[in-house]
Amino acid sequence: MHIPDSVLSPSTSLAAAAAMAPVWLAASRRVRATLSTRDTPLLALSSAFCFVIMMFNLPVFGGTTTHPLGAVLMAVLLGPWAAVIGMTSALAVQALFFADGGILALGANCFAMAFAMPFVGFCVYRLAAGRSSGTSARRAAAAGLGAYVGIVAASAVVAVLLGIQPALFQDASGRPLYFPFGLSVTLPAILAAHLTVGGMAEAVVTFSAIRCLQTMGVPLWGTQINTRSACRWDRLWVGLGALAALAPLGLLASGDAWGEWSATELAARAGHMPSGLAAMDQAAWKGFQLLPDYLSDLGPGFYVLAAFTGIAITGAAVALLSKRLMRVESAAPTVSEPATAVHTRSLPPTATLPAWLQAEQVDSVSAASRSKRASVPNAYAERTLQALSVQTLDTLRAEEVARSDGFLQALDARTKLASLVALMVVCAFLHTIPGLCCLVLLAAYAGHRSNLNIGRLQLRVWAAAPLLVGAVALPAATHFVNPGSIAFIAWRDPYVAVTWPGLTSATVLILRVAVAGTLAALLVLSTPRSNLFGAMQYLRLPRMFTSVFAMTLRYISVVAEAAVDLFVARKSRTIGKSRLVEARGFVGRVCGFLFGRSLALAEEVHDAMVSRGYSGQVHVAAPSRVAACDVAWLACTLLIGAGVLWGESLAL
Amino acid sequence: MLSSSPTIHRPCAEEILDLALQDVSFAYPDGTKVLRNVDLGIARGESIALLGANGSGKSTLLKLLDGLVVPTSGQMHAFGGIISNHELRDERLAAAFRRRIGFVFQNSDAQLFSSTVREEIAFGPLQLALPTHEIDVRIAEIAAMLAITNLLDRPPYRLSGGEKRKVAIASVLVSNPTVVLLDEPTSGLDPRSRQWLIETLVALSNAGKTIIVATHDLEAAPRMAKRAIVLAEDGSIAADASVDAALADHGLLARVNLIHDHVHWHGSVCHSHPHHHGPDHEHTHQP
Repeated sequence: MHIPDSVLSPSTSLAAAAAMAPVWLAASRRVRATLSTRDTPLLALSSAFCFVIMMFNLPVFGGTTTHPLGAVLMAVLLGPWAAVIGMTSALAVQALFFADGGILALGANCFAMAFAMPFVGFCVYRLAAGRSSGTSARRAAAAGLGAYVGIVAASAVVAVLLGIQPALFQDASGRPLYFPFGLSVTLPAILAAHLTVGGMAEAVVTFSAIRCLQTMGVPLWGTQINTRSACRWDRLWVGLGALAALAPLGLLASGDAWGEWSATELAARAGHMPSGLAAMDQAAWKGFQLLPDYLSDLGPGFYVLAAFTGIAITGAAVALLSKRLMRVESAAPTVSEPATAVHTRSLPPTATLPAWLQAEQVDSVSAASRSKRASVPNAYAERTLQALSVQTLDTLRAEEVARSDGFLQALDARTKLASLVALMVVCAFLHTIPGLCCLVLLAAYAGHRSNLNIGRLQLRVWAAAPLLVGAVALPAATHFVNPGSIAFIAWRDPYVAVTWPGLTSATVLILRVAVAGTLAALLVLSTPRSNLFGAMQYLRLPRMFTSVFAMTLRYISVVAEAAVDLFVARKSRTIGKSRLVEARGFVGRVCGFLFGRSLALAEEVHDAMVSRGYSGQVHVAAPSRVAACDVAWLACTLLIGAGVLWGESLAL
Repeated sequence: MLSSSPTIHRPCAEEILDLALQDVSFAYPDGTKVLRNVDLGIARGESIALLGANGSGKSTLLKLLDGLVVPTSGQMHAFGGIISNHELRDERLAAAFRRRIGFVFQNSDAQLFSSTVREEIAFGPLQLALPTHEIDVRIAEIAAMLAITNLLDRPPYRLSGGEKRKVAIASVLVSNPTVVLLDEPTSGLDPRSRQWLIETLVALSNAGKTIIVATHDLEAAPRMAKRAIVLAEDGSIAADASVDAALADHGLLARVNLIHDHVHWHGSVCHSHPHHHGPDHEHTHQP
């Protein structure tokens, strides 16, 4: 549902942004009036949760996908105005750093997902919940219903924004300038996906999460306002990161969401490249592209990494925003004591077995029905289980390698971090293939001396690099972007030629990504996590990032094991293969359950840390003295980097 | 008999009180009342068993004593001073408090969050700003005492349940606390590990540490502690007496749901006796 820049005319994007401006203004005022800085952790937690669940793609018909958004969940927890702020933060982070949704189209995306969805969903929730208790199942069901209606409303807004483009913006020959499909196509395509899979998934996730939070005693917005301040939210948001361990589930569904295609794919579907779309695609700023498309092309590990990064950036963004928006409150928390009667518990009556439980088991599953169920092709849950297990094992193996003997392993973590980051910076400034090849050789040599499986590492990096930057590198190789002597003609009609300067540019781009990826992998594989985070803290990286990353990584295995246990428990009670719709529902419930469980775990971990003297700042062991070999390595890498840069400047 | 009127054990005035609760009640934010009007004084060097059924508030009482939660009403005193949110926000006072009290959690997985056992044991002393060389010495000595030297460089999540419990205890004892709180320490342990744990607690008690153990293991309780605080199911104190006296009062134990009547037949004779999963069974015969 994230609209890219190129498919909307600039005037539409600006109009949507202008429409959102008063909403953002009103939201900031209402949030200041109703929330205090004590609610910051919950807002950050909710935004990060929305960010993560948006990575859980679900397959729908036509080879496209959809995903839950979580906006109504946030509205139910914190109110719709806070949801505007939280969703806007999550969408902005996605657009700026993950190339998901356009920068110029941010206003349009926010209008649909940060305004229409939470408000429509919240209204439906309030109507359906009535005066029910804050802990009742009816309230959770109402939230699920609101989520369903909310995401359908948001999808309708997106369908209209896209569908009006051909009618409003045409070139001289009457062909669409931007998005080529009209309302007759967009409305059924987008609405159908969200009326079925998307809406159901949103409802299940919201219902499950609200139910879990209710059982944990978390008050919903407008139900027990006085007790909200007594909840120690600042301890809980760390636990959310653990949910990211499930992010690879989103990779099981292939394809993009309807309308989120790249310009070339959209042109292929439409049969022509709209000129305005092509111009916008070339000219529009695509953000920082820190982790484009969540690194989904690189596999589950990088996808999880993107999820952690998103959590950290979204959390930090919301925290910074909250400082400006929310009123500061420093009073001691108060706990209201409801006038409940003294409850007494009594032993349950002695169990009497029902007759059916005493009867002998009769196999009531007919051969025909079993055969029918087994014939449904689905390995969704099984593949998920396998991916989680492999991911956990890979994580554990990486730590074992880091603690083994080797050249890089013996170096001081601070020196290693500084030197490898310096080489990455050098890599960004190199423009020639020989210069970059020098760094490739240096990285390969260091990896070999460190007893790393450099062949496997290089294979992964070199397989991933073209995929990562292919969308940019391929156009760069053509005569459109880099005119010059023709290397070969790729296509005659329309004429597309690959030039030698273009090939050089594309190769340099891919080499840069490959070198940077290899250096980053060397750093992670050869350094124990605790040392790496210690080095980050020593080098004054923001403590919020390092602490969140550290705690999240430590608990991935615990939450992943919990997820694996859930899948195994389900499998033990399943006959034959489950149907796709059942598997989807189960995954949604698992997401909700693990969200609640990770929060509870975070609470326990925090208590254990406080009990041993933690006061908001992790003190690590004083770093050992930097040895001569560390200094020598740092000097060598800096010299090599400077030498390569100097050599390249001479050659040019 | 305690069942008619619970006796309240109060330390003598001249005894040094480590911890004291005055009319303390506690409710969670959702309104669930867990502890009610708890009056308690814990003297230096005492060994106490907190007995109670599931959900009676044992773990919450330990959290209160560790300053992880503060009373909804009433006052808590620790080492001569009042403990409240205000004091715990003062880093100096909080560090002084944390240095003198250690808490072994029921769920070892939640307590063990570092990459290696060595880092795990070092976490507490590092937060309390102990010198590095002293931390190294303490880690080596506590590991030798608990026979976990061979585990120091292993990740905690690879350990067995008994090993995790040992590491959790080591990570608390390394800070040399005056008071050691343990939540269900014997649950999930095999007989040998259970025996080892009991002997360790006895040794700590003999060394002058104050030991407070929350448990419903009635067999292990008299071996781990001398004084028993029995919590009723509504979170109030049902009895505060010696462990032997508390365990001898079957009416009290049945009322707080720590034992139950067990009925079985031997031919035509029906046997009914209070029952728990310890050695102390008293048989009564019915025709």
